[in-house]
Amino acid sequence: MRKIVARLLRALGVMKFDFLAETASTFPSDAGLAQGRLVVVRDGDVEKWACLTCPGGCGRTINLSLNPLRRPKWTVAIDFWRRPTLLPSVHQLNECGCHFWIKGGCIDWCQGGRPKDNSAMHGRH
Amino acid sequence: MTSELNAAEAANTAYRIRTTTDGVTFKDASVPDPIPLGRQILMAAGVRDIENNILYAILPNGEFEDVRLDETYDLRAKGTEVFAYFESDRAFNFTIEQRQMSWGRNLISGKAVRNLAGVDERYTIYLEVRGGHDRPIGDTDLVDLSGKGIERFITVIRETTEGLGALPSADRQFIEDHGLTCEMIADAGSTGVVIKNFPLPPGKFDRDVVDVMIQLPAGYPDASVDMFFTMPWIKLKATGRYANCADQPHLFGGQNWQRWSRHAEWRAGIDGIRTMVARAELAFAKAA
Ligand SMILES: [Zn+2]
Repeated sequence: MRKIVARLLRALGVMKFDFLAETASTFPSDAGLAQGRLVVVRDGDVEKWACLTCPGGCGRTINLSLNPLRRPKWTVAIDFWRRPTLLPSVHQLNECGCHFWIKGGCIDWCQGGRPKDNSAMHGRH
Repeated sequence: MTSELNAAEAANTAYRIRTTTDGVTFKDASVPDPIPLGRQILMAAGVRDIENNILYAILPNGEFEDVRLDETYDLRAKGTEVFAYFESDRAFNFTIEQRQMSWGRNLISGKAVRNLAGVDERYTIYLEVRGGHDRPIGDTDLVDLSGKGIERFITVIRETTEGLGALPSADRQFIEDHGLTCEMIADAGSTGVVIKNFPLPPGKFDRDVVDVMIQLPAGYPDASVDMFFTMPWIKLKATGRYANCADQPHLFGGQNWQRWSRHAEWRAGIDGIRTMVARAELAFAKAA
């Protein structure tokens, strides 16, 4: 419900976000990851993974480990409207090469970290 | 004459299969019949005690299909070439990336899971742990499949790093102050910082600059960093050889780095990238 309201507020230009978070108890299949959704895999109290489709437009799935005892590792915080903030940045070492932050649900591209073909995504800001 | 010809043709068109019983070594075999019985496949694999074995066809998509001993199996229908067999009467099921697999023993190695499922080396295999963090499974790790519930494996490609934002602020400041170009690389369970085009003492090595990699342990910066690594490999100009204690390879992030075995005390809360840069500079200056 809150997500529907958030999407409505975005459509009205009141709120900005590129990603909304949802939780799942098991690791999602690549096919289950729609653009603009960040799936937090949470089993009981343990947040295990944050999964998203690359915002660079290459279509790859990015799976971020939330295990504090391993590297690389990330943390994710979700606000009232389910907008995620991911720390630290995400840097893809593949051909796509994108490098970005997600803060308050919005993509913040790092310098030189934004692939050329993602104008559609950026246009939503 | 005709029958001889047919026999020769049959031999030429014998169906080639590969068989495995441990998931690590695969043996080539051939069966004369394109629609053999399960027991003929076991026979071709050189199995003696056929009655006590169970047999699986590993389909091109990686799924397992069990084949009974007296059941015919059409090798042409699904393009199957690989069969796994076990001297066992019990099957242990597991899934990897939602695909159903079977195994004839309670223990399976990471290497066997990787080979059976055709998981490329760039991916880390994790065992899903209920109520805890998923556990990375190395090639030599063994997983017990006999617990209650079906074990599930997932795979994650190693192509994502944290960016330099993951470094402590003192390190970031140091990198900025010295105008270093750095990037992060990842391997299973750890991160490496690569300092690009690190200058070497002029004329000393067969190159003027080299990439220096510092591998950060999980507890960094409190946990100590020990050695450092270079890419490409560098040799001393004077001798044409690698420097002392710098001739061993170290596999990290899919690349073979030149390992510089240089040890020193690590002071938690004080040492960082700055320390490692100084250590590398000293090592290059003193290299012999
Ligand atoms: Zn991408």
